[in-house]
Amino acid sequence: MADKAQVALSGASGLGKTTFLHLIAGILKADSGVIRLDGQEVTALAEPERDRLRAGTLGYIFQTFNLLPAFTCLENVLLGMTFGPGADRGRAEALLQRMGLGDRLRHYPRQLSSGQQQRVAVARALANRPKLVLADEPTGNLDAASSGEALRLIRETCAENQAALLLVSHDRDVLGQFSTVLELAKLNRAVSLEESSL
Amino acid sequence: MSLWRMALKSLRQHALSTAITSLSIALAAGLLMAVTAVREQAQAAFTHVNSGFDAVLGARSSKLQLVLNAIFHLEASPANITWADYQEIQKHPGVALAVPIAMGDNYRGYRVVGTIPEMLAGHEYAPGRHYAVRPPGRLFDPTLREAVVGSFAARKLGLTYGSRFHPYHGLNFAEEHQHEEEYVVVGVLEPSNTPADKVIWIPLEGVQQMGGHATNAATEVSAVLVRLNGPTFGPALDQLYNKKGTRLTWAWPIGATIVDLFNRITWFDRVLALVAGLVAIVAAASVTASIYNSMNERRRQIAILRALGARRRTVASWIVLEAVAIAALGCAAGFAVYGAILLSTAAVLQAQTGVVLDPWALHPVMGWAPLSLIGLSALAGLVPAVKAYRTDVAENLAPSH
Repeated sequence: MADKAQVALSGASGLGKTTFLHLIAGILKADSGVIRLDGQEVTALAEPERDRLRAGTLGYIFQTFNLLPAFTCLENVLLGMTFGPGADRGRAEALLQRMGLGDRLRHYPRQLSSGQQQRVAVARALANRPKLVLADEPTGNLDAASSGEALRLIRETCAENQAALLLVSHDRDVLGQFSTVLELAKLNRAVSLEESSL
Repeated sequence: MSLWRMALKSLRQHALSTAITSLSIALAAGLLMAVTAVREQAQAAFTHVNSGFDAVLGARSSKLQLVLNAIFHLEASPANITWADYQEIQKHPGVALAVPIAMGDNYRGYRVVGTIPEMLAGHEYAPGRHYAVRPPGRLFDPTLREAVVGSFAARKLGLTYGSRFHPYHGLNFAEEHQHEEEYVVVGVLEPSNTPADKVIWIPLEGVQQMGGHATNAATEVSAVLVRLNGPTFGPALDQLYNKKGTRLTWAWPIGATIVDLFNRITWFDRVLALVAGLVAIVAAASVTASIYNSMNERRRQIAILRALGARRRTVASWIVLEAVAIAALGCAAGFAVYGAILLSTAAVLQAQTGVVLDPWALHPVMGWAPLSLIGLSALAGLVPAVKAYRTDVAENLAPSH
C-alpha cells in the first residue's frame, strides 16, 4: 500500500478478514510469509517489538468500538497515546473536536450513541499519528445514517492526518465508495504464490 | 495516561469490592500496628514507671506482686510488715528515702492509700519531676483527716478542693462497708501520668487507725517504697532480705521486675501477632480473589489495551499496581483502625493503672507494617497478573468472548 492510500478489502464472513488485519497489526504472528509495515518486517519482530510498532505506527478501529467503559471519551483517546509516543491532551481534544464531540469530552461511552462511540474510537485510532489505520467493519454496528457519517469522517480524518487506510467490509455501500477494493479471496491466493509487501 | 491512573480508574469501576477488600487490609494494618505499638509502648511506660523509687520492701511474696501492689496499685496486698521493719530499712545507710504505705481501703473503687507527706513532697517521681498540688490546695496534715486526690481519681469521682467523703473498707468497693471517718479533700494533684493519679492519698495513721481495722494494723504498714543512695546497695539488701531472711521480700530493681512480667506474657503477644498475621494473609488473599473474580470482564479490556500497543508486561503491571493501590488505600484506613485501638487501649490502661500511652507517638511499625502489607498485596496481585499476561488478544477483542 502506498502512503496515504485508502484501500477497501472485501470478503465474505469467515474468510479471515479480521485475522488478516491482526497479522498486519502484529497481534497474531504469521506462520510464514512476510509483512512489512513502515519499512519494518512485522513478521520478523519479537512480540514486544511488534507491540511497540503497533503503538507507534498503527491505528485500529473495531466493529464493536472497543472503548474502555471506565474511561471518559478524552481518556479513551489519551489511552490510545499512552503506549506510543505519550499523551498529548491538546491533540486528543482537537481530534475529538474534529469528530464533532467537543462537548462530550468528559462523557463516558455509555452516555454516547453508537455513532458517537465509533467517532471516539476513530479519534483514538488517529491519536498517535499512525502511518496506517486498520478499520475492521467500522460501520457494522451502525445504522445507515451513522454509518455514512462515520465512514466519511474516517476517510477525511485519515487523509488529514496523512494516514493510509485499510478498511475491511462486506457492505457493498461501503465498498462502493473506495476506488481501490481488493477481494481477500483473490489476495489470499496471490499471497500464497509470492511474497507480498505492505 | 499513567498506569497508576489506569489502576485507580479500574478500582473506582469496582468500587464495592475495592471498599470491602481495602477494609480487610485496613483491619490487618490496624491490628498489626496496634499490637506492636501497644506492646512496646506499654513495656516502655511500665518499666519506666517506678514513682521515683528503686525498690519495694514488703511481706514475703513474689517481687512482681509487691511491685504491682505498691507501685501500680493493682493486685492485693500480700500481708503487712511491722513498723520495726520500716524503721530498720529507714535507718539503713544505703537508703536515701523510705516511704511507708498502708492500703486496705477504697473510695468507690479508687484506692485510699495511707502514707507520709514525703511521698508527695520533695520527692521526684521521675527525673526532674515533682508532684504538684493544684491551687488553692495543699498537702494533707498527717495528724488530720485530710486527703490529697490524684488527678484521674478526682476527675472520675468528682472530688474537688473541699469535698468530703467516707472511705470504704477493702480494696474493692462495697456499699455496706463504709467507714465512719470523714475525710476532707485539701488538694488535688496535677496529672503526673503515673499510678499516683488514680489514688486517694491520706495520712498513714488514718489507715492504721481507721475504725474496724484489726488492732495490730496500727503498728503495721503494707509496704515500704525505698530510694537508695546508689545501685550498689541493691544487691546487699537483696542478700539481707531475700537470701538470709525469710519474712520479707525485697523487690529490686523495680523496672526489671516489670520486664519479668512482660517476659511472662510474651505468649499472649505472640498470639495477638499471630492473629494479626493471619488477618493480613486473609486480607491479601481477598485482594487476589477480588481482582481474580473481575478477570473475566477485564479480559476484553486487556485485549483492547494490547491492541493499542500495551505489552504483556504492561497489562500485568497494571493488575499488580491495582493490588498495590487497594493495599495502600487499606493501609491509609488502617491508621484510623490503629488510632481507634490505641485510644481505647490507652483509656483502659490509664483507668486501670494510671500509666499513660501516647496514641499519636510515631513508631517504626507504622512504616514497616503498611509496607509489608503493600508488598504482600503486590504478591497477591501476581496471580491475576499472570492471567492478564497470558490473555490472548485476538480471541478476546470481540465482545462474544
